[in-house]
Amino acid sequence: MLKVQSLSTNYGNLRVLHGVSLHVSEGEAVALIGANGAGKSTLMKSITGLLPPRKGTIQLFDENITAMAPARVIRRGIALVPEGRKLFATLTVQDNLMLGAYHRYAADRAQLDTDLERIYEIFPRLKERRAQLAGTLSGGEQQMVAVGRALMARPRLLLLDEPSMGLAPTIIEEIFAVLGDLQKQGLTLLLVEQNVRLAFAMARRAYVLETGRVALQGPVDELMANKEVKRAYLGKGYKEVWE
Amino acid sequence: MSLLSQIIQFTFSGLANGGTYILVALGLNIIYNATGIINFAQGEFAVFGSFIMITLCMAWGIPAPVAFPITVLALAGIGALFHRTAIAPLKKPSVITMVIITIGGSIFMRGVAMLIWGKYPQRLDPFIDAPPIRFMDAIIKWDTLLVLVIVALVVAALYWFFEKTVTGKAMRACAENREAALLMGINVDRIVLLSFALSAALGAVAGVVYTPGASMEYGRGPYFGLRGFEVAIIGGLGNSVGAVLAGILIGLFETFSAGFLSPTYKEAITLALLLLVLFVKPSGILGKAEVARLKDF
Repeated sequence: MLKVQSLSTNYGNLRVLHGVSLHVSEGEAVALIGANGAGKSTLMKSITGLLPPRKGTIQLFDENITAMAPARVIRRGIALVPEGRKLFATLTVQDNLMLGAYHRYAADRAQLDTDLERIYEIFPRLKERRAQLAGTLSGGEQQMVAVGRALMARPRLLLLDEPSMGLAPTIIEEIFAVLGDLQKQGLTLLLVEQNVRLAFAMARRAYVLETGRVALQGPVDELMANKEVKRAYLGKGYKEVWE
Repeated sequence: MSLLSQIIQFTFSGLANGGTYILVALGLNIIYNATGIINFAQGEFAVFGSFIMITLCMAWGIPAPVAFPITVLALAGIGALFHRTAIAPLKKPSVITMVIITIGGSIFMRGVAMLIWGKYPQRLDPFIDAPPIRFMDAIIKWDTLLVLVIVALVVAALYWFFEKTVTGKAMRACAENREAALLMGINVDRIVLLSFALSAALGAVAGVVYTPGASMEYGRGPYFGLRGFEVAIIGGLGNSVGAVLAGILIGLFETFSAGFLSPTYKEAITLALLLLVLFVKPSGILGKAEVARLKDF
Protein backbone atom coordinates (compact mmCIF):
# COMPACT_ATOMS: atom_id res chain seq x y z
CA MET A 1 0.00 0.00 0.00
CA LEU A 2 2.68 2.47 1.09
CA LYS A 3 6.17 2.13 -0.31
CA VAL A 4 8.97 4.45 0.75
CA GLN A 5 12.20 4.07 -1.21
CA SER A 6 15.63 5.47 -0.28
CA LEU A 7 14.14 8.60 1.20
CA SER A 8 16.46 11.43 2.26
CA THR A 9 15.08 14.48 4.01
CA ASN A 10 16.75 17.59 5.35
CA TYR A 11 15.79 19.82 8.21
CA GLY A 12 17.19 23.07 6.90
CA ASN A 13 20.75 22.12 5.97
CA LEU A 14 20.88 19.17 8.30
CA ARG A 15 20.26 15.79 6.69
CA VAL A 16 18.00 13.81 9.02
CA LEU A 17 17.00 10.84 6.90
CA HIS A 18 19.61 8.97 4.90
CA GLY A 19 17.97 6.72 2.36
CA VAL A 20 15.16 5.17 4.39
CA SER A 21 13.12 2.43 2.74
CA LEU A 22 10.06 0.75 4.16
CA HIS A 23 6.69 -0.57 3.11
CA VAL A 24 3.30 -1.08 4.68
CA SER A 25 0.82 -3.54 3.19
CA GLU A 26 -2.92 -3.09 3.27
CA GLY A 27 -4.53 -4.01 6.60
CA GLU A 28 -1.19 -4.32 8.33
CA ALA A 29 0.01 -2.64 11.52
CA VAL A 30 3.66 -1.68 11.29
CA ALA A 31 5.72 -0.20 14.10
CA LEU A 32 8.56 2.23 13.70
CA ILE A 33 10.81 2.50 16.71
CA GLY A 34 13.98 4.35 17.49
CA ALA A 35 15.59 6.74 19.93
CA ASN A 36 15.06 10.48 20.08
CA GLY A 37 16.42 12.18 17.01
CA ALA A 38 16.44 9.01 14.92
CA GLY A 39 14.21 10.72 12.36
CA LYS A 40 10.86 9.08 13.07
CA SER A 41 8.85 12.29 13.13
CA THR A 42 10.74 13.61 10.12
CA LEU A 43 9.72 10.50 8.21
CA MET A 44 6.07 11.11 9.17
CA LYS A 45 6.36 14.71 7.97
CA SER A 46 7.92 13.60 4.71
CA ILE A 47 5.14 11.12 4.00
CA THR A 48 2.38 13.64 4.71
CA GLY A 49 4.04 16.37 2.65
CA LEU A 50 4.82 18.74 5.51
CA LEU A 51 8.54 18.33 4.89
CA PRO A 52 9.23 17.43 1.26
CA PRO A 53 12.12 14.96 0.88
CA ARG A 54 15.30 15.78 -1.03
CA LYS A 55 15.72 12.34 -2.58
CA GLY A 56 13.82 9.10 -2.92
CA THR A 57 10.19 8.27 -3.63
CA ILE A 58 6.99 7.70 -1.70
CA GLN A 59 4.31 5.60 -3.35
CA LEU A 60 0.74 5.05 -2.27
CA PHE A 61 -0.66 2.07 -4.18
CA ASP A 62 0.52 2.85 -7.70
CA GLU A 63 0.69 6.60 -7.34
CA ASN A 64 3.80 8.61 -6.71
CA ILE A 65 3.02 11.00 -3.85
CA THR A 66 6.58 12.24 -3.24
CA ALA A 67 6.61 15.89 -2.14
CA MET A 68 2.88 16.23 -2.73
CA ALA A 69 1.20 19.07 -0.78
CA PRO A 70 -0.40 17.92 2.51
CA ALA A 71 -3.86 18.89 1.28
CA ARG A 72 -3.52 16.44 -1.61
CA VAL A 73 -1.96 13.68 0.47
CA ILE A 74 -4.88 13.67 2.89
CA ARG A 75 -7.31 13.42 -0.04
CA ARG A 76 -5.53 10.24 -1.07
CA GLY A 77 -6.27 8.69 2.31
CA ILE A 78 -3.28 9.26 4.56
CA ALA A 79 -3.98 10.96 7.90
CA LEU A 80 -1.45 11.72 10.62
CA VAL A 81 -1.98 11.97 14.36
CA PRO A 82 0.92 14.34 14.96
CA GLU A 83 3.41 14.24 17.77
CA GLY A 84 2.22 16.35 20.71
CA ARG A 85 -1.38 16.16 19.37
CA LYS A 86 -1.39 19.68 17.87
CA LEU A 87 -5.05 20.36 18.58
CA PHE A 88 -6.76 23.65 17.85
CA ALA A 89 -6.85 24.60 21.52
CA THR A 90 -9.29 27.52 21.31
CA LEU A 91 -11.83 25.58 19.24
CA THR A 92 -14.36 23.17 20.72
CA VAL A 93 -13.88 19.41 20.66
CA GLN A 94 -16.59 19.07 18.03
CA ASP A 95 -15.03 21.77 15.83
CA ASN A 96 -11.67 20.02 16.06
CA LEU A 97 -13.26 16.77 14.94
CA MET A 98 -15.17 18.47 12.14
CA LEU A 99 -12.01 20.15 10.85
CA GLY A 100 -10.56 16.66 10.53
CA ALA A 101 -13.06 16.18 7.72
CA TYR A 102 -12.26 19.56 6.17
CA HIS A 103 -10.96 18.13 2.91
CA ARG A 104 -14.25 16.36 2.22
CA TYR A 105 -16.53 18.88 3.88
CA ALA A 106 -18.21 20.17 0.73
CA ALA A 107 -18.49 16.83 -1.04
CA ASP A 108 -19.54 14.66 1.86
CA ARG A 109 -21.58 16.93 4.08
CA ALA A 110 -24.50 14.56 4.61
CA GLN A 111 -22.14 11.85 5.80
CA LEU A 112 -20.34 13.98 8.41
CA ASP A 113 -22.88 13.73 11.23
CA THR A 114 -22.89 9.93 11.00
CA ASP A 115 -19.09 9.90 11.04
CA LEU A 116 -19.06 12.23 14.03
CA GLU A 117 -21.49 9.93 15.85
CA ARG A 118 -19.13 7.03 15.12
CA ILE A 119 -16.21 8.90 16.71
CA TYR A 120 -18.39 9.60 19.75
CA GLU A 121 -19.20 5.88 19.93
CA ILE A 122 -15.51 5.05 19.87
CA PHE A 123 -14.67 7.71 22.47
CA PRO A 124 -17.84 8.31 24.53
CA ARG A 125 -15.98 10.76 26.72
CA LEU A 126 -15.59 13.16 23.82
CA LYS A 127 -19.35 13.31 23.40
CA GLU A 128 -19.70 14.62 26.95
CA ARG A 129 -17.03 17.19 26.23
CA ARG A 130 -18.08 18.11 22.69
CA ALA A 131 -18.76 21.78 23.52
CA GLN A 132 -15.63 22.26 25.62
CA LEU A 133 -12.54 23.98 24.25
CA ALA A 134 -9.96 21.38 23.24
CA GLY A 135 -7.23 23.16 25.18
CA THR A 136 -9.06 22.61 28.47
CA LEU A 137 -9.11 18.79 28.22
CA SER A 138 -6.77 16.40 30.00
CA GLY A 139 -3.84 14.95 28.05
CA GLY A 140 -5.60 11.64 27.45
CA GLU A 141 -8.76 13.28 26.22
CA GLN A 142 -6.72 15.50 23.94
CA GLN A 143 -5.09 12.44 22.43
CA MET A 144 -8.56 10.98 21.85
CA VAL A 145 -9.51 14.18 20.02
CA ALA A 146 -6.33 13.95 17.94
CA VAL A 147 -7.08 10.35 16.96
CA GLY A 148 -10.75 11.17 16.36
CA ARG A 149 -9.84 14.16 14.24
CA ALA A 150 -7.58 12.01 12.06
CA LEU A 151 -10.29 9.35 11.74
CA MET A 152 -12.78 12.00 10.58
CA ALA A 153 -10.63 12.25 7.45
CA ARG A 154 -11.64 8.63 6.71
CA PRO A 155 -8.08 7.54 6.12
CA ARG A 156 -7.03 4.26 4.53
CA LEU A 157 -3.64 4.59 6.19
CA LEU A 158 -3.36 6.12 9.65
CA LEU A 159 0.03 7.38 10.79
CA LEU A 160 0.46 7.81 14.53
CA ASP A 161 3.39 9.74 15.94
CA GLU A 162 3.97 8.74 19.57
CA PRO A 163 0.34 8.50 20.65
CA SER A 164 1.30 7.27 24.12
CA MET A 165 3.60 10.18 24.95
CA GLY A 166 2.96 11.70 28.36
CA LEU A 167 -0.20 9.71 29.05
CA ALA A 168 -1.28 7.64 32.06
CA PRO A 169 -1.11 3.85 31.57
CA THR A 170 -4.88 3.34 31.78
CA ILE A 171 -5.48 5.95 29.07
CA ILE A 172 -2.79 4.39 26.89
CA GLU A 173 -4.52 1.04 27.24
CA GLU A 174 -7.83 2.57 26.24
CA ILE A 175 -6.43 4.30 23.17
CA PHE A 176 -4.47 1.25 22.02
CA ALA A 177 -7.52 -0.95 22.46
CA VAL A 178 -9.35 1.39 20.08
CA LEU A 179 -6.47 1.31 17.61
CA GLY A 180 -6.44 -2.49 17.77
CA ASP A 181 -10.16 -2.63 16.99
CA LEU A 182 -9.77 -0.24 14.08
CA GLN A 183 -6.98 -2.36 12.66
CA LYS A 184 -9.15 -5.47 12.90
CA GLN A 185 -11.80 -3.57 10.96
CA GLY A 186 -9.29 -3.09 8.15
CA LEU A 187 -7.50 0.18 8.87
CA THR A 188 -3.81 0.16 8.02
CA LEU A 189 -1.54 1.57 10.72
CA LEU A 190 1.99 2.90 10.79
CA LEU A 191 2.83 3.48 14.42
CA VAL A 192 5.78 5.47 15.70
CA GLU A 193 6.48 4.66 19.33
CA GLN A 194 9.15 5.07 21.94
CA ASN A 195 7.30 2.61 24.10
CA VAL A 196 8.52 -0.48 22.30
CA ARG A 197 6.56 -3.06 24.30
CA LEU A 198 3.39 -1.27 23.39
CA ALA A 199 4.32 -1.00 19.74
CA PHE A 200 5.32 -4.67 19.51
CA ALA A 201 2.09 -5.79 21.13
CA MET A 202 0.19 -3.98 18.41
CA ALA A 203 2.24 -4.59 15.27
CA ARG A 204 3.30 -7.70 13.42
CA ARG A 205 6.27 -6.13 11.69
CA ALA A 206 8.62 -3.35 12.78
CA TYR A 207 11.45 -1.15 11.62
CA VAL A 208 14.18 0.18 13.89
CA LEU A 209 15.42 3.59 12.88
CA GLU A 210 18.84 4.77 14.02
CA THR A 211 20.29 8.19 13.11
CA GLY A 212 18.24 8.43 9.96
CA ARG A 213 18.79 4.87 8.66
CA VAL A 214 16.83 1.65 8.98
CA ALA A 215 19.07 -0.36 11.27
CA LEU A 216 16.88 -3.43 11.65
CA GLN A 217 13.61 -4.70 10.29
CA GLY A 218 11.49 -7.78 10.40
CA PRO A 219 8.66 -9.57 12.20
CA VAL A 220 8.16 -8.42 15.75
CA ASP A 221 8.97 -11.85 17.26
CA GLU A 222 12.34 -11.88 15.54
CA LEU A 223 13.17 -8.37 16.64
CA MET A 224 12.19 -9.15 20.21
CA ALA A 225 14.75 -11.93 20.23
CA ASN A 226 17.44 -9.62 18.84
CA LYS A 227 20.15 -8.79 21.38
CA GLU A 228 20.53 -5.18 20.31
CA VAL A 229 16.81 -4.51 20.45
CA LYS A 230 16.59 -6.18 23.82
CA ARG A 231 19.37 -4.09 25.23
CA ALA A 232 18.59 -0.73 23.71
CA TYR A 233 14.81 -0.71 23.60
CA LEU A 234 13.44 -3.32 25.92
CA GLY A 235 15.87 -2.73 28.78
CA LYS A 236 16.37 -6.46 29.14
CA GLY A 237 19.34 -8.72 29.33
CA TYR A 238 22.02 -6.33 30.42
CA LYS A 239 23.83 -9.25 32.00
CA GLU A 240 23.65 -11.43 28.93
CA VAL A 241 24.87 -8.67 26.69
CA TRP A 242 27.56 -7.15 28.82
CA GLU A 243 29.08 -10.15 30.53
CA MET B 1 -26.11 73.07 27.12
CA SER B 2 -26.52 71.20 30.35
CA LEU B 3 -23.99 68.70 31.60
CA LEU B 4 -26.35 65.81 30.89
CA SER B 5 -26.95 66.82 27.30
CA GLN B 6 -23.20 67.23 26.84
CA ILE B 7 -22.70 63.73 28.16
CA ILE B 8 -25.27 62.38 25.72
CA GLN B 9 -23.68 64.30 22.87
CA PHE B 10 -20.19 63.06 23.63
CA THR B 11 -21.36 59.52 24.16
CA PHE B 12 -22.85 59.28 20.69
CA SER B 13 -19.96 60.88 18.83
CA GLY B 14 -17.53 58.83 20.92
CA LEU B 15 -19.32 55.60 20.05
CA ALA B 16 -19.35 56.49 16.36
CA ASN B 17 -15.61 57.23 16.36
CA GLY B 18 -14.96 54.12 18.41
CA GLY B 19 -16.93 52.09 15.87
CA THR B 20 -14.57 53.18 13.11
CA TYR B 21 -11.56 52.25 15.21
CA ILE B 22 -13.07 48.87 16.03
CA LEU B 23 -13.35 48.03 12.34
CA VAL B 24 -9.72 49.00 11.68
CA ALA B 25 -8.57 47.07 14.75
CA LEU B 26 -10.52 43.95 13.73
CA GLY B 27 -8.84 44.12 10.34
CA LEU B 28 -5.45 44.32 12.03
CA ASN B 29 -6.34 41.36 14.26
CA ILE B 30 -7.43 39.16 11.38
CA ILE B 31 -4.12 39.59 9.53
CA TYR B 32 -2.19 39.32 12.78
CA ASN B 33 -3.87 36.03 13.63
CA ALA B 34 -3.28 34.58 10.19
CA THR B 35 0.33 35.68 9.72
CA GLY B 36 1.68 37.11 12.99
CA ILE B 37 2.35 40.51 11.41
CA ILE B 38 0.94 43.99 12.01
CA ASN B 39 -0.28 45.34 8.71
CA PHE B 40 0.77 48.99 8.65
CA ALA B 41 -1.17 49.54 5.44
CA GLN B 42 -4.47 48.93 7.25
CA GLY B 43 -5.20 52.68 7.51
CA GLU B 44 -4.65 53.07 3.76
CA PHE B 45 -7.35 50.47 3.14
CA ALA B 46 -9.74 52.80 4.98
CA VAL B 47 -8.59 55.80 2.93
CA PHE B 48 -9.03 53.90 -0.33
CA GLY B 49 -12.47 52.73 0.76
CA SER B 50 -13.48 56.26 1.53
CA PHE B 51 -12.14 57.69 -1.76
CA ILE B 52 -13.70 54.97 -3.90
CA MET B 53 -17.02 55.64 -2.17
CA ILE B 54 -16.61 59.39 -2.78
CA THR B 55 -15.89 58.82 -6.47
CA LEU B 56 -18.83 56.46 -6.88
CA CYS B 57 -21.32 58.66 -5.03
CA MET B 58 -20.18 62.22 -5.77
CA ALA B 59 -18.61 61.97 -9.24
CA TRP B 60 -20.63 59.14 -10.76
CA GLY B 61 -23.87 59.75 -8.88
CA ILE B 62 -24.36 56.13 -7.83
CA PRO B 63 -26.70 55.92 -4.80
CA ALA B 64 -24.93 55.11 -1.53
CA PRO B 65 -26.64 51.75 -0.81
CA VAL B 66 -25.32 50.47 -4.17
CA ALA B 67 -21.93 52.16 -3.97
CA PHE B 68 -21.23 50.79 -0.48
CA PRO B 69 -21.07 47.08 -1.37
CA ILE B 70 -19.14 47.89 -4.58
CA THR B 71 -16.56 49.76 -2.49
CA VAL B 72 -16.24 46.91 -0.01
CA LEU B 73 -15.76 44.36 -2.80
CA ALA B 74 -13.24 46.61 -4.55
CA LEU B 75 -11.18 46.83 -1.37
CA ALA B 76 -11.39 43.07 -0.84
CA GLY B 77 -9.83 42.81 -4.31
CA ILE B 78 -7.15 45.36 -3.44
CA GLY B 79 -6.38 43.48 -0.21
CA ALA B 80 -6.03 40.21 -2.13
CA LEU B 81 -3.82 41.93 -4.71
CA PHE B 82 -1.69 43.38 -1.93
CA HIS B 83 -1.14 39.90 -0.54
CA ARG B 84 -0.41 38.33 -3.91
CA THR B 85 2.04 40.99 -5.08
CA ALA B 86 3.74 42.10 -1.86
CA ILE B 87 3.49 39.30 0.71
CA ALA B 88 3.03 35.98 -1.09
CA PRO B 89 6.14 36.10 -3.35
CA LEU B 90 8.43 36.06 -0.30
CA LYS B 91 9.90 32.68 0.46
CA LYS B 92 10.25 32.10 4.19
CA PRO B 93 9.94 35.77 5.14
CA SER B 94 10.83 36.89 8.63
CA VAL B 95 8.21 38.82 10.55
CA ILE B 96 10.24 42.01 10.47
CA THR B 97 10.62 41.80 6.66
CA MET B 98 6.87 41.47 6.26
CA VAL B 99 6.23 44.37 8.62
CA ILE B 100 8.59 46.59 6.64
CA ILE B 101 6.86 45.51 3.43
CA THR B 102 3.51 46.61 4.83
CA ILE B 103 5.04 49.98 5.71
CA GLY B 104 6.32 50.23 2.14
CA GLY B 105 2.87 49.22 0.93
CA SER B 106 1.26 51.98 2.97
CA ILE B 107 3.62 54.62 1.52
CA PHE B 108 2.95 53.32 -1.98
CA MET B 109 -0.83 53.37 -1.49
CA ARG B 110 -0.65 56.89 -0.07
CA GLY B 111 1.20 58.00 -3.20
CA VAL B 112 -1.34 56.31 -5.45
CA ALA B 113 -4.20 57.96 -3.55
CA MET B 114 -2.55 61.36 -3.96
CA LEU B 115 -2.11 60.82 -7.72
CA ILE B 116 -5.68 59.69 -8.25
CA TRP B 117 -7.63 61.87 -5.85
CA GLY B 118 -5.31 64.85 -5.40
CA LYS B 119 -3.97 66.62 -2.37
CA TYR B 120 -7.11 68.38 -1.20
CA PRO B 121 -9.71 67.01 1.17
CA GLN B 122 -12.84 65.65 -0.45
CA ARG B 123 -16.26 65.42 1.04
CA LEU B 124 -19.12 62.97 0.92
CA ASP B 125 -22.80 63.87 1.29
CA PRO B 126 -24.51 62.53 4.40
CA PHE B 127 -26.18 59.15 3.88
CA ILE B 128 -29.41 60.21 5.55
CA ASP B 129 -30.25 63.78 4.68
CA ALA B 130 -32.77 64.51 7.41
CA PRO B 131 -32.80 67.02 10.23
CA PRO B 132 -30.88 65.63 13.23
CA ILE B 133 -32.61 64.24 16.26
CA ARG B 134 -32.79 66.60 19.19
CA PHE B 135 -32.78 64.84 22.49
CA MET B 136 -32.42 66.84 25.71
CA ASP B 137 -30.55 69.59 23.85
CA ALA B 138 -28.10 67.11 22.38
CA ILE B 139 -27.98 66.93 18.59
CA ILE B 140 -27.60 63.48 17.16
CA LYS B 141 -27.13 63.07 13.43
CA TRP B 142 -28.89 60.22 11.69
CA ASP B 143 -25.58 59.18 10.17
CA THR B 144 -24.14 58.68 13.65
CA LEU B 145 -26.89 56.18 14.40
CA LEU B 146 -26.35 54.55 11.02
CA VAL B 147 -22.64 54.13 11.79
CA LEU B 148 -23.50 52.39 15.06
CA VAL B 149 -25.92 50.05 13.30
CA ILE B 150 -23.44 49.22 10.53
CA VAL B 151 -20.60 48.55 12.98
CA ALA B 152 -22.88 46.35 15.10
CA LEU B 153 -23.97 44.39 12.02
CA VAL B 154 -20.39 43.93 10.80
CA VAL B 155 -19.24 42.72 14.22
CA ALA B 156 -22.19 40.31 14.38
CA ALA B 157 -21.43 39.04 10.87
CA LEU B 158 -17.78 38.47 11.77
CA TYR B 159 -18.82 36.62 14.90
CA TRP B 160 -21.07 34.40 12.81
CA PHE B 161 -18.31 33.84 10.26
CA PHE B 162 -15.66 32.79 12.78
CA GLU B 163 -17.97 30.79 15.06
CA LYS B 164 -20.39 29.13 12.68
CA THR B 165 -18.87 28.64 9.25
CA VAL B 166 -16.30 26.02 8.38
CA THR B 167 -14.15 28.55 6.50
CA GLY B 168 -14.11 30.80 9.56
CA LYS B 169 -13.13 27.88 11.75
CA ALA B 170 -10.44 26.86 9.27
CA MET B 171 -9.11 30.41 9.49
CA ARG B 172 -8.95 30.18 13.28
CA ALA B 173 -7.32 26.76 12.96
CA CYS B 174 -4.57 28.29 10.78
CA ALA B 175 -4.01 31.01 13.34
CA GLU B 176 -3.82 28.43 16.08
CA ASN B 177 -1.61 25.79 14.54
CA ARG B 178 -0.40 26.12 11.00
CA GLU B 179 1.08 22.66 10.72
CA ALA B 180 -2.03 20.91 12.03
CA ALA B 181 -4.16 23.03 9.70
CA LEU B 182 -2.05 21.84 6.76
CA LEU B 183 -2.54 18.24 7.91
CA MET B 184 -6.32 18.74 7.84
CA GLY B 185 -5.98 19.62 4.18
CA ILE B 186 -6.59 23.32 4.75
CA ASN B 187 -4.92 25.46 2.10
CA VAL B 188 -3.14 27.84 4.45
CA ASP B 189 -1.93 30.13 1.66
CA ARG B 190 -5.48 30.64 0.46
CA ILE B 191 -6.64 31.32 4.02
CA VAL B 192 -3.99 34.04 4.40
CA LEU B 193 -5.12 35.53 1.09
CA LEU B 194 -8.67 35.51 2.38
CA SER B 195 -7.59 37.20 5.60
CA PHE B 196 -6.03 40.06 3.62
CA ALA B 197 -9.18 40.45 1.51
CA LEU B 198 -11.43 40.38 4.57
CA SER B 199 -9.26 42.79 6.45
CA ALA B 200 -9.14 45.28 3.56
CA ALA B 201 -12.93 45.02 3.24
CA LEU B 202 -13.25 45.88 6.94
CA GLY B 203 -10.93 48.84 6.37
CA ALA B 204 -13.22 49.97 3.55
CA VAL B 205 -16.25 49.87 5.83
CA ALA B 206 -14.33 51.93 8.39
CA GLY B 207 -13.37 54.54 5.80
CA VAL B 208 -16.87 54.75 4.37
CA VAL B 209 -18.69 55.20 7.67
CA TYR B 210 -16.15 57.77 8.82
CA THR B 211 -16.42 60.08 5.81
CA PRO B 212 -19.94 61.63 5.65
CA GLY B 213 -19.95 64.80 7.63
CA ALA B 214 -16.15 64.69 7.83
CA SER B 215 -13.87 64.70 4.82
CA MET B 216 -11.09 62.51 3.48
CA GLU B 217 -7.61 63.32 2.29
CA TYR B 218 -4.84 61.09 0.99
CA GLY B 219 -2.65 61.37 4.10
CA ARG B 220 -5.26 60.22 6.63
CA GLY B 221 -4.19 56.56 6.57
CA PRO B 222 -1.69 56.68 9.44
CA TYR B 223 -4.36 58.29 11.63
CA PHE B 224 -6.69 55.31 11.09
CA GLY B 225 -3.80 52.90 11.36
CA LEU B 226 -2.59 54.38 14.64
CA ARG B 227 -6.03 54.49 16.23
CA GLY B 228 -6.79 50.96 15.09
CA PHE B 229 -3.42 49.84 16.42
CA GLU B 230 -4.07 51.46 19.79
CA VAL B 231 -7.44 49.75 20.01
CA ALA B 232 -6.00 46.38 18.97
CA ILE B 233 -3.19 46.66 21.53
CA ILE B 234 -5.40 47.83 24.38
CA GLY B 235 -7.91 45.08 23.63
CA GLY B 236 -5.15 42.47 23.44
CA LEU B 237 -3.60 41.80 20.04
CA GLY B 238 -5.61 39.24 18.09
CA ASN B 239 -8.54 39.34 20.50
CA SER B 240 -11.75 40.47 18.79
CA VAL B 241 -13.90 40.89 21.86
CA GLY B 242 -11.09 42.94 23.39
CA ALA B 243 -10.95 45.10 20.27
CA VAL B 244 -14.66 45.87 20.48
CA LEU B 245 -14.42 46.84 24.16
CA ALA B 246 -11.24 48.85 23.63
CA GLY B 247 -12.75 50.63 20.61
CA ILE B 248 -15.72 51.79 22.65
CA LEU B 249 -13.39 52.81 25.46
CA ILE B 250 -10.99 54.78 23.24
CA GLY B 251 -13.82 56.43 21.29
CA LEU B 252 -15.53 57.62 24.46
CA PHE B 253 -12.27 58.57 26.12
CA GLU B 254 -11.28 60.62 23.11
CA THR B 255 -14.48 62.67 22.82
CA PHE B 256 -14.87 63.13 26.55
CA SER B 257 -11.30 64.30 26.98
CA ALA B 258 -11.65 66.59 23.96
CA GLY B 259 -14.92 67.98 25.31
CA PHE B 260 -14.12 68.36 28.97
CA LEU B 261 -10.34 68.79 28.98
CA SER B 262 -8.85 70.07 25.75
CA PRO B 263 -9.45 69.29 22.07
CA THR B 264 -5.79 70.13 21.35
CA TYR B 265 -4.45 67.41 23.58
CA LYS B 266 -6.95 64.64 22.82
CA GLU B 267 -4.34 62.67 20.85
CA ALA B 268 -1.83 62.93 23.67
CA ILE B 269 -4.43 61.93 26.22
CA THR B 270 -5.48 58.81 24.28
CA LEU B 271 -1.87 57.81 23.74
CA ALA B 272 -1.31 58.27 27.48
CA LEU B 273 -4.14 55.77 28.03
CA LEU B 274 -2.36 53.33 25.72
CA LEU B 275 0.87 53.75 27.68
CA LEU B 276 -0.96 53.25 30.95
CA VAL B 277 -2.47 49.98 29.72
CA LEU B 278 0.92 48.84 28.43
CA PHE B 279 2.52 49.56 31.80
CA VAL B 280 -0.17 47.88 33.86
CA LYS B 281 -1.11 44.98 31.59
CA PRO B 282 1.16 44.70 28.55
CA SER B 283 -0.92 41.98 26.93
CA GLY B 284 -4.01 44.24 26.77
CA ILE B 285 -7.23 44.18 28.74
CA LEU B 286 -8.36 40.81 27.39
CA GLY B 287 -5.09 39.55 25.98
CA LYS B 288 -3.38 36.49 27.36
CA ALA B 289 0.29 36.70 28.21
CA GLU B 290 0.92 33.28 26.65
CA VAL B 291 -0.56 34.39 23.35
CA ALA B 292 1.78 37.37 23.30
CA ARG B 293 4.73 35.09 23.92
CA LEU B 294 3.75 32.53 21.32
CA LYS B 295 3.79 35.01 18.47
CA ASP B 296 6.98 35.84 16.67
CA PHE B 297 7.50 39.26 18.14
